[in-house]
Amino acid sequence: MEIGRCAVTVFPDPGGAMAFAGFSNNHERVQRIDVMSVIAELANVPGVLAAGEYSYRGDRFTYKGQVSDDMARMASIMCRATTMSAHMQADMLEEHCPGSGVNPPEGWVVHGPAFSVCNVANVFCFVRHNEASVNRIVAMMRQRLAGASHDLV
Amino acid sequence: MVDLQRLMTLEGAQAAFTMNDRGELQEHVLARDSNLNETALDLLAHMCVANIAIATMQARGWEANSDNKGFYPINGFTMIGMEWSAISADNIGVVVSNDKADYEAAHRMLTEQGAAG
Repeated sequence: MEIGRCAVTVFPDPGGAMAFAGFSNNHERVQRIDVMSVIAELANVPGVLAAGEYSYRGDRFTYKGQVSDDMARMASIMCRATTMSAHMQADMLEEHCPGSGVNPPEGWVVHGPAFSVCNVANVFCFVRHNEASVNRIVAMMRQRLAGASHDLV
Repeated sequence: MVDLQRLMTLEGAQAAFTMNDRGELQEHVLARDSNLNETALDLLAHMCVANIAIATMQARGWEANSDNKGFYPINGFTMIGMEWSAISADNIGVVVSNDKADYEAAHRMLTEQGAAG
């Protein structure tokens, strides 16, 4: 386990090569590389504790930042659960009020006393309030992930 | 007393509302051009309460297993929809257009209003 500013990438499957097993063509690989660059960009913003990405299927995650592998795994599990729940809720709201403007949801933010967790698509970022701006982080994430697929696979 | 009209002064505000601990809509104000309605706000209010409760549980678990503190207690939850964001804290919520959303200002005002209410 390595904790620090340097990049740490964790794939639960044995052997790093398996990490890309689900990506069947170059287009998907390119999208994957873009997400990795977003994570690196976010993690380099002063005040960001960690940034990462999880697969909607729940079988893979990557991260960069100042948390342990185990905590990054827990973060990705919690963020994925909240994202799936947000999609369910948005679907229900859209049924209730067609054309409301919620669907598809782009993400969510949880505000704590010292940290906020920002999530757009399947990318998360832990932000220290007194060192970084949630507005700036969310704007960056929305801009950089604007083309992300809303298919939860 | 929560001043919903003050929340509606936030740039891009489409709606402001209060809810009880179960998430039931108590009071609301809607902008004339909003696509939302009272029924939608009631469901949205339930979503806000539910998400804050779940996030609070997650923050508790995170802090019990980590040296990283400062997540608990959860002060608010924001749902970022396609066109608008719903920001909530202290049984109060405000819906603002994404293109004008100032999450920090909205959260600050919600917290002030919550303390006043």
